Amino acid sequence: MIVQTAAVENSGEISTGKLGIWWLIGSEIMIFGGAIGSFILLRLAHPDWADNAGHLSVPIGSLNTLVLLTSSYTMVKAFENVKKRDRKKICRFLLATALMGLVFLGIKSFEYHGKFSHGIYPNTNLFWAFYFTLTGLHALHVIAGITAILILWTFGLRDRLWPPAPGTGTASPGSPGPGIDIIDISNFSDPSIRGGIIRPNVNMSIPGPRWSGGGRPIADRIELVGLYWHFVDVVWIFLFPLLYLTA
Amino acid sequence: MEGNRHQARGNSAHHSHGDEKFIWKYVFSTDHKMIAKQYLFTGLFMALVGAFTAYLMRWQLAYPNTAAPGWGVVTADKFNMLVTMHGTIMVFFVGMPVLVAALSNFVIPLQIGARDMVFPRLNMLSYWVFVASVVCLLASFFVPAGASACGWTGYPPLSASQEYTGIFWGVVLWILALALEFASFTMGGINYLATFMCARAKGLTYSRVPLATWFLVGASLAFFFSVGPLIAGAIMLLLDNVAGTGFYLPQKGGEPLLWQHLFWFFGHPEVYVVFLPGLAAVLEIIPVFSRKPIFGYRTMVWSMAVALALSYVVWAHHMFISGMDPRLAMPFSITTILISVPFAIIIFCMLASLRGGSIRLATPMLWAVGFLVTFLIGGLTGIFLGSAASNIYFHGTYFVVAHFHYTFFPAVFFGGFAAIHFWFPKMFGRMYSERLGKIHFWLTFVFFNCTFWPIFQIGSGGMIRRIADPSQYRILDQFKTLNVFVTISAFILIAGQIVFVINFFWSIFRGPAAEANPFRANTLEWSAASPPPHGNFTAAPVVYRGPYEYSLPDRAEDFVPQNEPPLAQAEGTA
Ligand code: HEM
Ligand SMILES: [Cu+2]
Repeated sequence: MIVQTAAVENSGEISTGKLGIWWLIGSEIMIFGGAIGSFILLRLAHPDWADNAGHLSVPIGSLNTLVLLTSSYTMVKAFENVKKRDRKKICRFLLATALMGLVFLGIKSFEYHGKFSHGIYPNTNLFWAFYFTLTGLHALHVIAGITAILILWTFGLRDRLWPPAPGTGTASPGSPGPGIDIIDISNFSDPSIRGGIIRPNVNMSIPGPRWSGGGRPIADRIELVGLYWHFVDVVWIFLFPLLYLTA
Repeated sequence: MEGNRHQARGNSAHHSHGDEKFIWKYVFSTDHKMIAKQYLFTGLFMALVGAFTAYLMRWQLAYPNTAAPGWGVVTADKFNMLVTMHGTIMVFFVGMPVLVAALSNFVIPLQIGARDMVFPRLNMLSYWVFVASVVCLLASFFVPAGASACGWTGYPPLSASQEYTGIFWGVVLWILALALEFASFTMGGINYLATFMCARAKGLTYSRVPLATWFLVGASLAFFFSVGPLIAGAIMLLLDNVAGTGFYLPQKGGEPLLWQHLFWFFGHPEVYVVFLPGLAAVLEIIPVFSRKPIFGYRTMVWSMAVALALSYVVWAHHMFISGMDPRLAMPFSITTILISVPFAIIIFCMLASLRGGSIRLATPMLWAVGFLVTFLIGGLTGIFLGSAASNIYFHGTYFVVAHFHYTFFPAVFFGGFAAIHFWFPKMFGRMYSERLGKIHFWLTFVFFNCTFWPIFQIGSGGMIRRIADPSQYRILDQFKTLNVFVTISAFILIAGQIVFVINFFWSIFRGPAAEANPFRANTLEWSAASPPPHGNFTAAPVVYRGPYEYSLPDRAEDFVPQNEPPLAQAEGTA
C-alpha cells in the first residue's frame, strides 16, 4: 500500500506553521481594521479633535516609529542568519529586536505618564479614549511579540535551534541515540508531532530535549515570529500618522 | 516533569490505546474526534439551558405574572435577562459549538483523509478557552443584579453604562464570555482552514473535496473575517463599562450606532456561520439517501463563495430604522435581495439532486428534508424584512422573531440533528434507533411549526418583541389564545427532545455495533473504522475520484468510494 505524505503538507510550498501565522495575522488585521476604521469615521465627523491631537508630541512619536522600524530591520537580520546557520548572530539580533521593543514600550509609557500627569485619561474625551485604546491594544501586541522573540532567544542560547548534528548529539539521557530514525514526518506519522503555533512545540513521541517542532527545527519559527513582528510594526505605521499627525 | 508527561502520552499514543490515562484521553485530549465530542456535549448541555430560558419566557407570554413551575414569576427585568441569555446561548453556545466546532472538528479531518488537525494542541486549547467562556456566561446568572439584560445584540447605550439596567457584572461577564468565545473560535478557525489547505489526502483536489467540508470551511471563513471588528467593538464596550470611556455614550460624545455597525458586520455573516454547517450536513446526506450524484457541485461551491462575499455588505439591513443615514437603505436593500440569489441556486441544486432519486427517508434524510422545508419558510419571510419599505412595518415585531427562528432553528437543530444522526455511527461506533429517531423528528417538526408559524400572524398583528407582559396591551388581547397555543406547542417541542436524549445515550452504550460504512457512502470518513482509532486511518488514503459517484451504470454497486482505484487499475487489465 502506498504509505506516504498524505497527512500533512500535500499542498507543498507553504508550511503549516506559516499558514497558521498568516491566518492569525489575517484575523488581527480585521481587529485593528475595525478599531482603526471606527476611529477614522468618528475622526472625520469631529474636526475639533485636532486640538487634542495637538497635545501629542510628534518628535517623541517619530522617535518611537524609528525604534520600531529599526527593530523590524534587526528581525530581518536575525532571519537572514538563520539561513547562514549563525547561531551567535541570531541570538544577538533577536536580543536587539526584543530590546528595541522594550525601548518602544518605555517611550510609550513615558508618553502615557505625561498625559496622566496633565490630567488626561482614557475617559477624558473620545479622542483620548481612542488614543489609549488603540495604542494600548498595539502595546499588548508588542508585548506578545517581545515574549515570543525572547523565547526563541533562549532556545538560541541553549543551542536548540537545530537538531544536534549526528555524533554531536546533546540529547539528554534516555533519548534515542544518533542514527536512530527519530521522527520521520514524511511518513504517515503521529499527528501529535505537528507543530503548535502558540507555544514552543514539544516532540511528544520521543523523550529528550526540545529541538523539533512539527518536524521542523525551532529555527524556522524565527521567520514566523518575524512575520508577526512586522505586522505589529505595520499597525504602528498606521496608528502614528492617524493619531499624531492629524493635529 | 513536563517532558515526562509528554513522553508518557507519546508512547501510549504510539503503542497501545488501552493504557492511555483517562485525563489525556477524555479531558485534555488532542484527538480531533474527542474534541468534537467535547464540543458536542457542551453545546447540547447549553441547549438545555437555552431551552429552559425559552420555557420561562413562553410561560410568561401565555400566562402573564403567574408562577412558572420550577422558577417563579418572571418579572419584567428577569424577562429581559432571559431574552438576552436565551439569544446569546442559542446562537453562541449551542449553534457555534455544535455546528461549527463539533462538526468541523469531526468531519473535516476525516473527510480529507488527515490523521488529525494540523495543530492538535491549539485545538485542545480552543476547546478549553470555550469552556472558560461557558463558565463566564453561566456565572453571570449568579452575580449581583444577575445576567445581562441588553438583548443578545447588546445594543448600547443600554449595555454601555450601568445606569440604564443596573447591571454591571452581568454585562462585563457577558462581554468577557463573548471575547473568550471569539478567541476560541479564531483558534479553531485557524486550525480548520490550515488543515483543509495542508492536510488533504493524496489526490483530493479542491474539486474533489466533499461539499460538507467545503461548507464547513466556508463557515469558518465567514466567521474569520467578520469577527475582528466586533472584537474591537467589544473592547470598546468593555472599556465603556469599566474605564468610563464613552465610545457608545452620546452624553460623552460617543456614537451608539457604531456598535450596531460593528455588531451586524459580524452578525450577518454569523448567521451563515451557523447556517452553512447545517447546510453542509444536509448536502452530504442528500446524495447518500437518494443514491444520486449531487447536482451542480461547482455551482454550489461558487454560490457559497458569492454568498460569503455578499454577506459582508448586507449588515445594515438590520438597521433600517436605527437612525442611520437613510440614503444607505437603498444599497443595503439591494445587496440583501441579491444575496438570496446564491442561496436560491443552492436550494434549487438540492431539489434537482433529489429529483428522481431512490429516496430513502431514514432519520438523517428526514432531518435534511425538514431542514429544506423549514428553512425555505425562513428564507422567504426574510424577503419581507430585507426590503426597507416593509421592514419599517415589521421591524421589532414578532414577525422578526418568527423569521429568525425559522432560519436559526432549522440550521441549528434540523441541520444539527441531521448531522448527529448521519455521523453517529462514525462517531460512536454504534447505530441509533431508527424508530426513536423518526418519532423525535416528527415531534420536533410538527411542534416547531406549531410554535413558530402562528408567531408570524401575531407579529403582523402588532405584537412587538421583547415585551414582558402582553396583557398590558389592549391590541394584544386578540392573541391571547394563540399565545397559549404557541406556548403549549413550545412545551411539547421541548419535551419531545427527551426522545432524542434517550435515543442518543441508549445508542451510545447499547446500540448495535455499526459497520464502517453503514449508509454506503463515498466520502473518506466511511473508509475508516467506526469509530476511527486515534490517527483515523490505518494507511494514508489516496483519492481517485469525486465524492458523489452514485449509481454509475457500469458498476455493480451503486456507490464508488473516493478511495477506490479506477476499474482498469483495480482489475489489472488495460
Ligand atoms: C425551543 C425552541 C425555542 C423557543 C420556544 C424560543 C422562544 C423564544 C422567545 C419566546 C424569544 C423572545 C422573543 C421576544 O420576547 O422578543 C426568543 C428570542 C430569541 N431566540 Fe429563541 N426560541 C427557541 C429556539 C431558539 C434557537 C434554536 C435559536 C438560535 C439558534 C434562538 C434564537 C433566539 C434569538 C437570537 C432571540 C432574540 C433574543 C433577543 O431578542 O435578544 N431561539 N426565542
Ligand atoms: Cu442580516
